[in-house]
Amino acid sequence: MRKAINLEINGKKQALEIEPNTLLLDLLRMDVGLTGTKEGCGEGVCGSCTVMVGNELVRSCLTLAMQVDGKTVTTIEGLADGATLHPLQRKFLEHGAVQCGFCSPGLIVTAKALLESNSDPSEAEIRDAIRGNFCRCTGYVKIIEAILAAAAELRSAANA
Amino acid sequence: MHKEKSEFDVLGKNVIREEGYGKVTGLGKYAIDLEMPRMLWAKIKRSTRPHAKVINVDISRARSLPGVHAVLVDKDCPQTLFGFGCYDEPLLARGKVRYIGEPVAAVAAESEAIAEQACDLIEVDYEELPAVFDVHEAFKTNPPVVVHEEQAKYRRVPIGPVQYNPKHPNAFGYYRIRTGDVEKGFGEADVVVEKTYSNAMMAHAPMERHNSISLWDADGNVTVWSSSQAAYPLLNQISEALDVPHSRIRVIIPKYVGGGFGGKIEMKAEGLCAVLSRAAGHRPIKIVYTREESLCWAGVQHPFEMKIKSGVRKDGTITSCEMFVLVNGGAYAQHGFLVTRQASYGPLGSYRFPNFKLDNYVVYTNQPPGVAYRGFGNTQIHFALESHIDELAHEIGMDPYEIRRKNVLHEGEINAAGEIQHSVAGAELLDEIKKGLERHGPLDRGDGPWRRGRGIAFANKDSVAPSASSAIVKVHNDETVEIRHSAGNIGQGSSTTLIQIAAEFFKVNPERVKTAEVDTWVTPYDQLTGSSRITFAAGNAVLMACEDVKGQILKMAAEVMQANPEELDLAGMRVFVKANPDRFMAVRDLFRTVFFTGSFLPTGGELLGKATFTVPSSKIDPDTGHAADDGMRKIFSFCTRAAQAVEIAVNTETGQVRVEKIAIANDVGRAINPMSCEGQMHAALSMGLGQALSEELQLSEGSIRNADFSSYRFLTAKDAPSNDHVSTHIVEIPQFDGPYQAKGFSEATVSPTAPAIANAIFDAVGVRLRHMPMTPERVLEALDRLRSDQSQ
Repeated sequence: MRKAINLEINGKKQALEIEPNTLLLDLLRMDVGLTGTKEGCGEGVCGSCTVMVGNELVRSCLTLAMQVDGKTVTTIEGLADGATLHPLQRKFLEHGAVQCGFCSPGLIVTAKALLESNSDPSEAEIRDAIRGNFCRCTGYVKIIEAILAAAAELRSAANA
Repeated sequence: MHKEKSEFDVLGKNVIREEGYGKVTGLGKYAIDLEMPRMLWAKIKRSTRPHAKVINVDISRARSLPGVHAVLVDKDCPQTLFGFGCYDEPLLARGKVRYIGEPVAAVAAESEAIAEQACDLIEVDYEELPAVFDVHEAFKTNPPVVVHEEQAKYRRVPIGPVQYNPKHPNAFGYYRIRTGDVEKGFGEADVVVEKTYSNAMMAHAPMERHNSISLWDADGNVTVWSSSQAAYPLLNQISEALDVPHSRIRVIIPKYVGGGFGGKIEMKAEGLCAVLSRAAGHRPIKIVYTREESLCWAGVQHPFEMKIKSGVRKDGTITSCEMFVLVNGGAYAQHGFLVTRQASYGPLGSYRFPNFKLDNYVVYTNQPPGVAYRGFGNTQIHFALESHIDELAHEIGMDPYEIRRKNVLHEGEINAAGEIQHSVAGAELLDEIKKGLERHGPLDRGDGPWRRGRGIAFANKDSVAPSASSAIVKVHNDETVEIRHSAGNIGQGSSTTLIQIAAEFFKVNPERVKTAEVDTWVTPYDQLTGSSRITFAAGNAVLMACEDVKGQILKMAAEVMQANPEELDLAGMRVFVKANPDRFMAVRDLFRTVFFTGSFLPTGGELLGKATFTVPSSKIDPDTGHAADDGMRKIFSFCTRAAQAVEIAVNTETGQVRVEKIAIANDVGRAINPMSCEGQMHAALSMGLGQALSEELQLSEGSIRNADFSSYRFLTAKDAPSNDHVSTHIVEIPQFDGPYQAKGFSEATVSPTAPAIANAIFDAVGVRLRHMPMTPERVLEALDRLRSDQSQ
């Protein structure tokens, strides 16, 4: 029995009919074609599937799509402004914080939520915020650098 | 052509990676993101027994489930055996199963859920056989269990000494090295130390799980889209497994691959899913391994047990070394015998051994098979060797830096396997890490439960020879450059490395150079993305292909400019007269548009450079492992070296080890992209820390008990040392035959971490951990033993 669901994904309103047991992750990847959100473990541990629902971070592999009916969802595809990258995306590239890139969408979305609640995080606060985002490639050094640099840029833009 | 750094335009610059935009925007498509029209999903029914006869597989209920399109057992598959030099593995279990997790049957269905449900409906009757897990038991003459009764008949690639020995019917690979007389050497020593070291099984755990789509079309062609890291080895294995010629197989690897670490070299389910595709009316078949399958049954790191006996004089000179190594290969050979060979040479790339004897066997057991893993056996062997060197240093009261400095190989030296050592970084690396740690000031040993110590380790990694890599370089009519090469860009940044090499050659902006997607019908042969060989082998191939196309451009321009090609040169896509640079023409002006059919050259055709780079090796004596004295004295393509120093704190009450400061140094020949080099060093460090402290696939009777990310734990951002406590030192000792003197290095750098930590634990609290990972339980157990010894 398919159910109707209305939600807003990356600023675009969507009206869909889905099976009630559809995961948010599968809705995004299969129904809407936004494959930027990745599945690393399917158990809510690795953080690759992190998206924002409203201002909250959620693991889309543990969230039923029906739970986000009527809400707004932001995925990695919603960060850039046209061809202009979000400062986090640009800093990840400039600092070499991306290697295989599979964890990058979840990490960047997590960092975005952090910077929205704390515009000037310390290294320890960043490490705490991304502790649930597993990266097998980078060793986190350059990820931390990139988030610190993006935070600084966003602060100076806000003060300008 | 030695050049100073400042003469380069593109090399040494932190160029942003080619595929980076697709990665940070989420728009890049990994294999896992691909879908095909009319695609079906596959699932594998796996063995639940470590060793058993397969009496019957009942697929009737699975086959009649709505939505199921094909169900396969062994008899439905080509009756071949595939492997990586030892051909021992069927697509689906044939007659018996040899490990928990071995594929027994496979299903293709309209959804992943239906395929899974169908697997549950398959009933397998087993007749249990005794199983062997312990490598010593398995290695015995007259062992309790023979894992492969047919071993003597298996087809093999002849490497080294005779591999099958009826006295050890479970050993499937053997390597030996002999130099001098070890007994005489022990007689010349002041101190002789004998210890045994070992490691647990470890997972690669790439974030993108192993996955693929296979299509066996009605024309008889097999096309595979895969998350593989090695297109041509995969193509070759598919060919062997399906008994289909190379010319009928096409392997496509997207530009986006979510990590490999050696775990995506061997074929996974690509061949099996091709058979499903044929059985299901030539529909494309997608399979995505679950995290459990990806961690446990897509290949693991081999557990080693390494006994080392060494003699050392009081002045620190090592006089003799004898090693006996047993490698737990698991149920199928895969890369086992090559890992064994490579690991055997590991010690000889670090130090001078006047007398050396090594015997190294890889042995079948009823555990999941081991495969290639970053370091290719060197992480295990260097854990043992570097712990052991530290033990020698303590025995004779010598500084751990000094004993290494005293024995480390020098430029041009012939090592204990008769191989000439080129581009050697030894003392340079040790000096760097010493500096890196000493900038923090003297060690505060701590009080209370946390006690601090420091430790160092050195390591090396040889890169395979013979080695071959081809490249095609096309210059388009808009003067952009396209590189066609089959290097798997698994996150290490190989595409950008090749782009920088070509951009430097042509003196163009790297944004004007791109790489083609790996597709074996388009991109030419490359041996594999592995063995740290891409920068060196692919880099050289690309450089040679650039030379080739440059020659064509100059010849063509010479006609137009009415000059001799020898008088001309090319830079920034302008051909100019060397003696008079004001006389020039643009490369794009070579192309002319006649009518409305696009532009072409005066000669027709395309500007297409082609080249193959090969590295030969010397003949190796199978009895001694020595390179022939043929003027080359070459066993490997090149060797790269690394060193690390760590400061750690050990909690004497809980056994917890906290890595507080670390200095890492690696020889890279020349840093083509320093940011990328640092990234690889940090990457390896993080893997090394996991290996040292926490990562272990816990086995119980052949079954893995922690097959998920909540219980198989690798380093999170909270576990890693803070950024200002990590000092990263790129050391550039030019590699004489590398492209712009560069070489690969991303494997050597993973090896020193664990032994440096083991040595630091000893320095901090006086206990020696000889098994990794050094978990809190194991540290505490060692501390308890020490305390009870002291109280007696």
